[in-house]
Amino acid sequence: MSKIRLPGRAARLVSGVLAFLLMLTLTSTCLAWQVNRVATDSDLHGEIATDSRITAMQMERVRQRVAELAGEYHFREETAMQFITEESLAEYSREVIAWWMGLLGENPETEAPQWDTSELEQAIREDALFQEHTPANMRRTTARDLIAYEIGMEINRAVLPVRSDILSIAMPKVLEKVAVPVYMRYLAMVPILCAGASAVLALLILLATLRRASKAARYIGIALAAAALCIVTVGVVVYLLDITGMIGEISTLLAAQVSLLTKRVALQSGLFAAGCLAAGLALIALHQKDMRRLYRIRRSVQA
Amino acid sequence: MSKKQFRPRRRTWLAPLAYALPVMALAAAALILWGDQIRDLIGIAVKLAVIS
Repeated sequence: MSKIRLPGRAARLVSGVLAFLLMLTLTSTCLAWQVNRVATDSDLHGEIATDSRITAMQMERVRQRVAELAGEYHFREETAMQFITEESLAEYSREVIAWWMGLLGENPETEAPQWDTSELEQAIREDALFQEHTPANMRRTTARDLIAYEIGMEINRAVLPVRSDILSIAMPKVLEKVAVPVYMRYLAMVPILCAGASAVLALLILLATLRRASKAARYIGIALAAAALCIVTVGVVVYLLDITGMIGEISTLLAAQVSLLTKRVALQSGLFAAGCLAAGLALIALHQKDMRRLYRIRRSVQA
Repeated sequence: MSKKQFRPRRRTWLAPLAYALPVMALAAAALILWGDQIRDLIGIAVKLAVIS
């Protein structure tokens, strides 16, 4: 019977260290991928901002404000609401997302897009109830400055519940000091580099345990399964920080969007971790099966 | 060659936990030691940037 060959002590030590590094690079791949998605994927933000639940919350908020103004300045709510539909809000949301994602690119537009209130203002001025209760010389300024402007501001706040003026002032100053577009390009490369490093480390483990491939499966499997545990740990830490709860104390709309975003990120990270865990356990099972086979051979030889 | 190397060890299945433990311990320590400060910083940023 040919001699059963196994990796020596030095090879096992090196493989153990490489497996630990592989665990770190796999975890970094997942986290960097998700950070890159959140920072650069405008489709993801578009889907969240135009989610039916979000649009319904925005419509309800705007409808309440229109009702308040209609009570105060005596016009029919339908006059204003005919211009404010879920489709128009969704379209405006997409414009706003394109704007703030463009803030991180070359030559960003510093002024946030505003909701066009010209048609709304005209419709209110022609509203019969409004004309009945408002003197003719006051109609234009009331419709424009007190009603249409307020409705426009409410829509802006519903779609972008963030102080856009801070972004407009701060971003040009940040861009003067820091080459943000260059760093954004580097950010896109980080998950690819981490994945590449993981592949290299797996190859090195294979080389270190060349005497028996099942030993490579053991170490790579351990690294994969351990990476899954690390990803879950990071998810638990982020959950315990309760960022959504903190935002919810100030803005329920923004908290709803952040909650949807974290669920999407958690789902993808969870799938990545589940894949790593399954692959890792499968490789460990392969190793255990090979070791059982060797053990039976050794025992039969000794017998 | 040691006979022990040929035995499939049950503890191999626990090895991923052993490898992940330093990272998990670090994350737990960071949360315990700096969790409140991180939450305070995020809270300040949220209060500054978000409109109710």
